[in-house]
Amino acid sequence: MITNYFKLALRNLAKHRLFSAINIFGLSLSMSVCLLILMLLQEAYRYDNFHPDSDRVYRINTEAIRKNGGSESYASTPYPLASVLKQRYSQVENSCRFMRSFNSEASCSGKILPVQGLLTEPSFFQMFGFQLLEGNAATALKEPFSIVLTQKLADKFFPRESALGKTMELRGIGAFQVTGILADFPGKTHFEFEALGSASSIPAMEASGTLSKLSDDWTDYYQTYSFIKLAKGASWGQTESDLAAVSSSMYSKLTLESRDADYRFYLQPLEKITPGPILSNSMGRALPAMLLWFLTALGAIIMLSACFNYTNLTLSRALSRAKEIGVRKVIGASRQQVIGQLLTEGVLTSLIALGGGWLLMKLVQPGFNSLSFAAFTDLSVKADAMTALWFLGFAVVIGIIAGLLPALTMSRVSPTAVLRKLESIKLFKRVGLRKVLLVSQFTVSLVFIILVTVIARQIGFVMSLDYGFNTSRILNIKLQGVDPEKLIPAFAALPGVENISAASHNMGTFEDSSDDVRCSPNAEPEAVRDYSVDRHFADNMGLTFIAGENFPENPPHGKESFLIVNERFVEKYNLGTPAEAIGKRILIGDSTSVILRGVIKDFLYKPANYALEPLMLRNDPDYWRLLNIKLAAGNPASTIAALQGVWSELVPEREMVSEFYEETIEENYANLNDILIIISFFGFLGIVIAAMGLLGMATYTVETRTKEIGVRKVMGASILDLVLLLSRSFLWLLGIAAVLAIPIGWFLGTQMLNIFAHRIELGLGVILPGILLLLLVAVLTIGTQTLRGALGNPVTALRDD
Amino acid sequence: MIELKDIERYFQTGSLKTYVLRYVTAKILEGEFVSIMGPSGAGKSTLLNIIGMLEEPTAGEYWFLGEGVHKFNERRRAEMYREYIGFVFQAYHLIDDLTVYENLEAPLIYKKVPSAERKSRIADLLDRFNIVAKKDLFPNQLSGGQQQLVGIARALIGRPKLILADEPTGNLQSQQAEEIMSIFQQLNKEEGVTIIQVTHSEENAGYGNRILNLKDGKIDA
Repeated sequence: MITNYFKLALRNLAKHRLFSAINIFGLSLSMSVCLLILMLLQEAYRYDNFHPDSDRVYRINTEAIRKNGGSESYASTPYPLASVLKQRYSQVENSCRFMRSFNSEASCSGKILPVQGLLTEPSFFQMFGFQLLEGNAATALKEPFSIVLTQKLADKFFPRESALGKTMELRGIGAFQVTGILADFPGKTHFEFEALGSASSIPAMEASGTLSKLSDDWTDYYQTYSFIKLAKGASWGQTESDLAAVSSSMYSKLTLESRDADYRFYLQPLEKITPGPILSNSMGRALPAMLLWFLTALGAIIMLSACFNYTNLTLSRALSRAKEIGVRKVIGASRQQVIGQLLTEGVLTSLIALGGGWLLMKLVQPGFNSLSFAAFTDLSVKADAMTALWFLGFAVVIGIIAGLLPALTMSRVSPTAVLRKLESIKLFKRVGLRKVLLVSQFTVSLVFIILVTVIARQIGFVMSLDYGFNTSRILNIKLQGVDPEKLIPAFAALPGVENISAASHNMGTFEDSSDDVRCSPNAEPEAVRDYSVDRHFADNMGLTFIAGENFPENPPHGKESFLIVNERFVEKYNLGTPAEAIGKRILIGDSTSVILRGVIKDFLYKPANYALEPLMLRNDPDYWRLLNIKLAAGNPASTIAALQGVWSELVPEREMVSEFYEETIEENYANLNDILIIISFFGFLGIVIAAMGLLGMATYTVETRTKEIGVRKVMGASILDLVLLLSRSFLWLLGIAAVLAIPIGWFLGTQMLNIFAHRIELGLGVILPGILLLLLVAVLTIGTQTLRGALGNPVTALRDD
Repeated sequence: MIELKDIERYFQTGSLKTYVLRYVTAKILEGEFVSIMGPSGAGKSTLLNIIGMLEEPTAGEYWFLGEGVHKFNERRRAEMYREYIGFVFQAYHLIDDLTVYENLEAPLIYKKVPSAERKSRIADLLDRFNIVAKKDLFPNQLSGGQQQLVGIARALIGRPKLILADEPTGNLQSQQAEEIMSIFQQLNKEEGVTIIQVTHSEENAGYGNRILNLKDGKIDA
């Protein structure tokens, strides 16, 4: 029976070429992105599914409750938490902690390479599914100063020999002996490391000062990832209340971080970490669940829009098929069989579209991979048998969704349809429904257009935003631990270099640093953003002093004594006029006391998302991490080459890492750019699909009204009269769509702009151009068809009868 | 086989009832070949449609093979079409998208007849009606008479007990009409298929063995 259905469906498709083409092309377009999203989802759910009993393994997360009432969730916890929990509660069967402070440079067999590592406990091999290629899992992480390497890292250091038993010198940490080589990971994982050091080294590292004291610190919840495995049948809820008990017994007698009021610990199943909610301090690189859902939602909207086309066009042809269905019923077809046949048509259309979608996806894929988040997530989209099954299943479901309404409606045709003249069949053609579908398609397209316009304008706005500091011709070079005093004189001697300053991190980016500030000893400390800079910084960045003066000569290490702030700082902490503020003593952190030496004019030192807040420019060489080199106008390439030459002479063991300031700032908005690209693309698809649907509907309207047009023409109607007559109902629907889309687009646009402190005005000037553009496309689409109808020779139209 | 008791069919507009059929009572036995005759507008087609369960009487009882048709739902009616009733229409009503072969196959598919049996049944009928050469043609490639042959073949393919024909020769030339009518007669005599036809032509009615005359919605005895 199904082969029969398919045969019929194929003939039907072939017979109505325009409708089939519209349906197949529209479905293919939207399927291309949906297939991509399906693969994304499939990849995203492949993380961490190779661990034993992973349904009983949880990560403990920390929700830090702030004094201001907000809260922030961290993937990390204090170091002692997991071990205390395991000691106290028997339902915690095992625990394993990872401490982050194990990133360094390793030198070994004459090579220096950066190493990204974690410190962890021997239980690692019991709780997780990682396997050792060489070494003994029971002992590899037991002794202090043991290190287990991934095979990839081991091969880098020891390409031709076994690394086992070798010693590696980790800069600033100590010498570690290689006790194991990890096999390639059995699957995707959120864990990210190249090396695992034994946690038993921690006491010695703390004693020698290479690690700040964390092993009994309950207030530092940034450094440690804690995993526990619950006993069989143990309850998640019980464990969370145990966590609450531990927390209240521990924190009652401690002073918390100045911004925190309390901590709440909660469990997150290992399998739910990726994809999962966005957490601060999270390990690994994977698409956050939110982004996946955002993409899925966009995909679903576009897919539905293409389904609507199918539904609409099929329903509009219901009348001409009524007779066939009547005949089928008279020769014994049940309603189910008719539904089956009509659904098969939908599914077949969808399966053909799947082929097209697959090809189109191949075209879209490179574009997708070039989005910045795709690169960041290490996501390789590939095809296998499982994926193919998913795709087929998806296409079948889409076919059913698209064909369901027409099938249900048309199968209701009574067998008496055979007996009647076509015109007299009172078939519920779902005209209302069809209008709703058309309006919703256009509303969605219009909303997309509005959002694209809003984001594009905002990006333009932030890109051209005048931050108030100088970024042009400034090249930032990372110090990578090299003493700036060694580099600056050599760089300054180069002819193309105009100025050099040192700073802790880049302004105008999301990089952040702050410290607690008190303007009087008894005041409540408040966090204020700070940059540590040298005395050339203000000049190099073009900052203007409105009171006081610049730092004197650079202070010795660890001995900062002066501070420069912005106007906002002076206002917020009531220091009087800028001039009055000069000379005031300010307390930073616990023990640093500095004198306010200068006040600079306010400028935007953070991306456009941030409102202007107080700022401190500090003067501590310990924190300098980069040099800002002002290049002379002219040929920057030769100057950069010269800088490179100096660098490789002075620092032969490392590559110079540099970037122009303007590029760095542009990268801030990479995410926004991604969103713009994604929404534009979806918007484009939405418009194409909606316009094609409209084309089909208009064509059909004209075809079914040929006779009426002929009669009217003979009676003397002008071409314009006829075009208006045929277009009127469509224009109405477009109007309704516009009326609906404007407030929705306005609302969503406002939400989007709200993440920026500095943003464009959302006015009609932003909203109208896009809408007019889409309406123009729609009117042209309708116009071509109605004009064709109106221009036809009435004699041909009337002759048949 | 068929028992009609006081069948009425009327349309109500306001308080005015317009009768199409009134107090129609009739009994048709298995193996009969009945012609329903009467002037235009007498309600012949309506009566045939009611017998064919395409329309429902406004009042009265209709018993088919001892079952009350007024109690049938759509599913049961579809079953009747599959098992017992074959229709032949004046306008043939073949499915345009299907070839002759497929038009004959469709009822069997709905009846869930296995593929091998379908093939042999269709081959038999094509042979019998001399249309083997046409089996891969579409209806619009056939003459009216040929289309009606396919229509009758389609009605027969499910081996119905009853054939309902609404002016089966109305669109045909006399020679083709004779051919069709003799097929009906042969079916009735040799295979015992009950046939009810609506016709204007005395000549056609002559092929049958009983005539029901309808006049103004009543049986004219």
